[in-house]
Amino acid sequence: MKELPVELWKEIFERAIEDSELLDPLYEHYPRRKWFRNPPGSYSRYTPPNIVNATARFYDATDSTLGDTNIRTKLAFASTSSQWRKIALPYLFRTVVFTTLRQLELLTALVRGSRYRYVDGPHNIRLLLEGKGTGYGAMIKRIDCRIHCQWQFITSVSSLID
Amino acid sequence: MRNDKADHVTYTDMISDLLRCCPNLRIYVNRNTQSGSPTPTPIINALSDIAIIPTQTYHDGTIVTNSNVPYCPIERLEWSGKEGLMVGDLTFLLRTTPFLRKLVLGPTFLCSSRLSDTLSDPQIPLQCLQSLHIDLTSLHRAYIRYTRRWLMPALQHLQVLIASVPWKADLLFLLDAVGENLISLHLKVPQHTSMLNEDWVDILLRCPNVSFLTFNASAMPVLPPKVILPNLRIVGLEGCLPDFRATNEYDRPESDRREQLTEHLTCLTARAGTLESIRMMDDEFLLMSGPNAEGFGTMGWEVPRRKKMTRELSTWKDWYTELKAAGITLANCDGDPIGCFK
Repeated sequence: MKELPVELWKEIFERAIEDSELLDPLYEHYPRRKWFRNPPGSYSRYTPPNIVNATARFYDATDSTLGDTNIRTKLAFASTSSQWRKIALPYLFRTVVFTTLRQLELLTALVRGSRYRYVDGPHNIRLLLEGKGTGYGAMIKRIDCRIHCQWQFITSVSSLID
Repeated sequence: MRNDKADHVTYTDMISDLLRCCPNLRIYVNRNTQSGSPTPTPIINALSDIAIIPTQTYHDGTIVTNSNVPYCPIERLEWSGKEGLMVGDLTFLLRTTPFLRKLVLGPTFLCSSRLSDTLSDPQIPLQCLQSLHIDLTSLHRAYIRYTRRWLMPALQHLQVLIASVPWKADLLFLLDAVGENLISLHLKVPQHTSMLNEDWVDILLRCPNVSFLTFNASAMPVLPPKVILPNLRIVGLEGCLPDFRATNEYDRPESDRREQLTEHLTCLTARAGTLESIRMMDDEFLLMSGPNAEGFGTMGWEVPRRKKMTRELSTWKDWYTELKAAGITLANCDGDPIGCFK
């Protein structure tokens, strides 16, 4: 495994994650119902039970379930070994989607704190100690903000309590 | 428990903080469902600050910055949720994103409050903008007036959402400016919005070079035969389901819808010289691809509807045969031929 070049690992990761189209600025997402694509080339509204976990996938590339699957795949790559972590970190952070304020809060704290932990390119302890690392934020290419009326909801609940 | 205002402040602070940490951000998509309030100015400022001054390194190691040409990596901005955007903020943002390639503007836009919107910068160059989505269904669309200032020489794709709110003057004005270069035009029209044939002609006459045209077959008249579109290769039809069923209680009878689609297809067949493909944009047409045509894809549907779908397949077979004879491919929304009719 160690002898495989980084470029090859990147290609493998790219194919496994399947969200590269989201980085195309001209990519057009058509909101669709949850169709499953059943290989080869057929579609159904309900996935056959034998391919639930293996080959079926949501056709809609930005569907939240696929997003969850992607993030699990990315996390698995990043937590396999230190070598894979270096390769997988840019994939982990390149597209970030948040739907709640809590997610946004956690991500912002993580990105802000990473200036002390991560510097792009060769390791530079001086920059890290000074908090001048690039941080994980340098890897973020796309931010998708879909926060669902949280503050309105909280207000309505608090007014009910009052 | 936090209150409304505190949450909004937290949201503003956190997003701005995050954006300041993302010097390589290329795409910002805002689909927040919070309606009635504009995106806070600190977020706009943080987005506009994402600019890198390009440097040039010479052989002797000296690094020179070329501050005349700020490089901003942002290539796509999208406000397609319910959160608004001040027109002044939009104008300000567009000035600082010269490499923008796609701009999606949703329905909720609020009026301007900045003096600069009306006085300065008569032209905003958007040299790289290739794709623009605008929504003319809202009365709060003050920004559309400002498109007169936008210079969009590279614009190739325009998607417009129109409904019962008056739209014609705004759209025609925009098309006067950019219609000549358009390659792809997508007119999104909700069901039960009527469009006059004259309006349709006015629109098409302003887009003579369009090669990919998408419109709603159930809400719009047929493609006017008198408008010659020499480059038209692909037509996408929205608003027609494969089994012609009603989408709501106000919909017309099935026979009417079938007849209307026949008119559209007949009219399109007359353009057989240039037209290569008709795409049925409703995703349910995926069910008519390959093995699905035999009923596999309709598993889980109630039996009457599955039987009805099977019956309607014969109608589609007839159309498929006619179109094929004219050299036109019937395809699904992905452009894959609907290959079930052997």
